[in-house]
Amino acid sequence: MNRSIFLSLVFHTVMIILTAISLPFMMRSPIDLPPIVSVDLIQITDKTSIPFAAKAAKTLEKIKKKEEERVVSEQAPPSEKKKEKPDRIPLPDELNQEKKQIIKKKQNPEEIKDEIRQASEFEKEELFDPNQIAALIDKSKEETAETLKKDNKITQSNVKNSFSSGLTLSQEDALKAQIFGCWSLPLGLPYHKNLLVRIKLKLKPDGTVLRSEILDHARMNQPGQGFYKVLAESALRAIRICQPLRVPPTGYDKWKDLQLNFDANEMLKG
Amino acid sequence: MIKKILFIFILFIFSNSAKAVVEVDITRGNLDPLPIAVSPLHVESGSTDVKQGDKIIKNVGEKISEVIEVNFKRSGLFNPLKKNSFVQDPDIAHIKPRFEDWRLIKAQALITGKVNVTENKIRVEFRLWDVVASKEMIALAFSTTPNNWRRIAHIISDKVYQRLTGEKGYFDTRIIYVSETGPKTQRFKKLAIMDQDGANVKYLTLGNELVLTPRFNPQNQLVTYLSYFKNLPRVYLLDIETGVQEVVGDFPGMTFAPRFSPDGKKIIMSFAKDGNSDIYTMDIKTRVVEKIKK
Repeated sequence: MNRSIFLSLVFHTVMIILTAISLPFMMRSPIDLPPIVSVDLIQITDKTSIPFAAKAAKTLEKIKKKEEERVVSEQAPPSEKKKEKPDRIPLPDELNQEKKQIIKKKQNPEEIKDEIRQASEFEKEELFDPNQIAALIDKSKEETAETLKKDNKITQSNVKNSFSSGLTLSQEDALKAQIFGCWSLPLGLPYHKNLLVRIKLKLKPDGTVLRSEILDHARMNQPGQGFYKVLAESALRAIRICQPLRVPPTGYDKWKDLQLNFDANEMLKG
Repeated sequence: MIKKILFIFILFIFSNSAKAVVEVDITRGNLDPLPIAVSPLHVESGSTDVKQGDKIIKNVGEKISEVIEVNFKRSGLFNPLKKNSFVQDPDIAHIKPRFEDWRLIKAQALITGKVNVTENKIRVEFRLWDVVASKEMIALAFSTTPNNWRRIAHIISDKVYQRLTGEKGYFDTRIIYVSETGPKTQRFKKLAIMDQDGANVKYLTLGNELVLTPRFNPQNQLVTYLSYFKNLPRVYLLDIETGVQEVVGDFPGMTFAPRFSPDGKKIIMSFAKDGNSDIYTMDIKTRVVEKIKK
């Protein structure tokens, strides 16, 4: 008897602890949103778009005149020399650099810049290296892989969606926009009442509706809720008119079970 | 035993990690009038024409559909589609509509029906179809005297309106008003009543005396209004069904501005005596008068 009570107590406590740990709201970690960076888009043109300021031009002219009027001494300014620490001993690398600089300063007619150097036919053949092209192709592959990796990362714009639904913001917007156009709201709905109709859909991969179910079905037949039936019917009609729904071509497992929450309250409040 | 319990625990833990359903909030829609197709009601073979006074109405089914269409158009909530675009015949559409055809002309609701007219009876049957869902929404039949065909059209409009908007319809209602005729110097003011669409105008008074402020009883067919009696403004009560008219109370002064109470059992009015006006209520059945302002 005592053993069974003890076991029961132990298992109950274990059960409570497990429930507390595994409850979804307790597991949910706070959403770590990246800081918002505001970006101004500027169009770059050849000419400046800043209007010509007459006052600024006048002041510039005044400054120029002043500079011309200023008396300039004929005496040459003292030559600037690098202050060197007396105890500083030049390193061998520095010495080499100095030598190179000196060589460049000399007039060297043989020196031709790389860009304008003309290569002979034989030289061109030598320059063509198929291995280099292969390397370039490999590099381009690496670059595309990098961009793909970057795309897979969560960006700021679709953070909310990836948490709330399996669709990205643009995919969700496309679906919303489609249904907005199909949903004719029944006019004459009461204000300040719950006008939320939740419809659960089972979709085919092409976006056609396999099964639709009104989640608050019991509310339809309640007294004083006649408007709800009309509203639910209008929502179902909207889904049927919109078929096939604009769903993404991939990720069927994510959106095959879709729940649409039709809320007329926001529309009525304007 | 312990193994079993452990297994249940493990199942319990994993059950919580079930994938959530994708939810999308739809907070906007369009407020365009609902496109509705009102198919002309099919008149059954063997039906007679409807005689209304001097007029003979041949295709009463089409007339009924026209009245319904005008009602919906005027309500602003529906957009009745043009009959030229209808593909299906009315008699076949009433049995089983080809929804694909009706969907083609962008109709979301469809009204079909049939009429059978005999010498002194008209029977109208109608069905409302949800074109998008391909199902019937309501089906009703009415029987009355042939002269009442307009009223049937209004009742059908009411039923469809209620089914599609969730609100009670107002099409089967009448308006009481004061009709003015004659030159500016000599106006005749008659009490008149008509259907809400302006049809069936009837005059209730002859126009000998001035009439003003007619008011309907919210519960029944009684009307109260102000008219002159022995050169004094007096409140009258008129029963539209029987045509009986009477002066409310025998007061020495004048009575005016009558209204019915919301329950329709009392009349509230002003009563002027010795240059002083007070508000009185009078019970219609017992005729007990009470002053409500001291």
